[in-house]
Amino acid sequence: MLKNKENQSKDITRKQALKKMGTYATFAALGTMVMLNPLKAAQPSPPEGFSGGSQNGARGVRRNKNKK
Amino acid sequence: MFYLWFFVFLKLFNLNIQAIFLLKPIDDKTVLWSSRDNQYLVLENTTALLVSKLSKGIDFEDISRDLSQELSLPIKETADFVLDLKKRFIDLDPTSNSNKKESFEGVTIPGVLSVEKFYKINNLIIKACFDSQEACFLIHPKFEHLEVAEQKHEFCLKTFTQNARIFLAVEDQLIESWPFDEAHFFQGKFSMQLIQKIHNKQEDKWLGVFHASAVSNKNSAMLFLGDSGNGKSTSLALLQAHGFDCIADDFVPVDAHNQEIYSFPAAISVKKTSLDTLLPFYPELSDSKEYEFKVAQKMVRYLKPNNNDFSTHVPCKGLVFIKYIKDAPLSCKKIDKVTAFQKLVPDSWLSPIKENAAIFLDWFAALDCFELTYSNNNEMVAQVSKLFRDEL
Repeated sequence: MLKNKENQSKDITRKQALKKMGTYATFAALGTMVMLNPLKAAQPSPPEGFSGGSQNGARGVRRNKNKK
Repeated sequence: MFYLWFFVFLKLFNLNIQAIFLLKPIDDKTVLWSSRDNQYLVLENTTALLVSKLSKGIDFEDISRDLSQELSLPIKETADFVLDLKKRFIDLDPTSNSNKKESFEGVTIPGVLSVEKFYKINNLIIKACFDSQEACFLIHPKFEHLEVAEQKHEFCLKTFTQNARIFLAVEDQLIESWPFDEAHFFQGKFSMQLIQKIHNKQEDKWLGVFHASAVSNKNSAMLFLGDSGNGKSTSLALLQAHGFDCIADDFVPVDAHNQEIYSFPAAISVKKTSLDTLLPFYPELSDSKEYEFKVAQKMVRYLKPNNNDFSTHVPCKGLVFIKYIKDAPLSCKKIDKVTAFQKLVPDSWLSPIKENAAIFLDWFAALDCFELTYSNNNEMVAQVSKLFRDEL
């Protein structure tokens, strides 16, 4: 009988439970942060690639106006 | 007496190791800039207030108690949280932010290099030398429209490879080197050197460089941002065909002193997929040189910017996150700044100097940010004209 009473005193109402959940949600939100790292150096995009000079890398082709 | 001096020393030392950071409210959040790693964090306002209190030296137990009462939570939980903030933002290792200067021991700058180019930017003659055609192609295609015959030059940039690294030297002073797979950083540094010479401003005078296209109506400019393939360069080319000025494509420098957008003389890159759209406005593209970048597997042509005055600088009117979606109806709306901030920062180089970071945060907070989705080019041009006239 005594044990039953002790259990009853630890119970909380639905309203209290919701309030507690709201408090914890607020508290959890405080720890939410978005980390943003800028680029370490300025760079164009997208990278074009480089093999060290052994290849031509890029090839420029002049288009002929008269040919389609 | 010894303990007293020891205590004073500890206090002084603690002041020195405290992190340098800035707080700026943006919309309903607070942005924190930390000097450590030049990092930006978006925080809840309450969290930012806690960090601010910690930075002022208020005891963390007092802060934890106040938070515990405010939220009706056990003090143990709030204390753990506040202590974590203290460790993260206040008690930093001062050695973690050390930027080691690169050693160039054993590196010799070659006297003569096999490829030489001369460029005229405004009245400035620049000589660029490369030790291979491949190295030349990292730079030359974007600046080919500025090429002139060999003549007396104001300064010389040398690019060469040694020990599996690509080196940049300016006036026979080594600037930096990169492994081959970081050649894009070399390209960025080369461009930084150019803007320093063109606008006579050293690197510490720039607020940042944005991966964007800048379009001007002569009084102000809009920055067009978005992931690669979203139509930044294509819309820039279309807008310049409709009376707007091209200030910069792909590499947009902003000055820290006046926060204005400065001209960058590179040509507009036109991908094969945009050719049909642009040919009616630029018939010269059909005859222009097509560059095949084998490593990146892409074909690009370059379009000369219509603005020949590369000393131009104008205030920034706003940021436009542009997106081309096939068959999509035109949509243009203001977006919240926190969302825009999260898109902008990871794609930009931002000055790591505290004063410049503070100016950047103030500058950004005052800007309007838009999201523009389009499929019809005429509608896009009309909408951008409206934005310049403050009509959404």
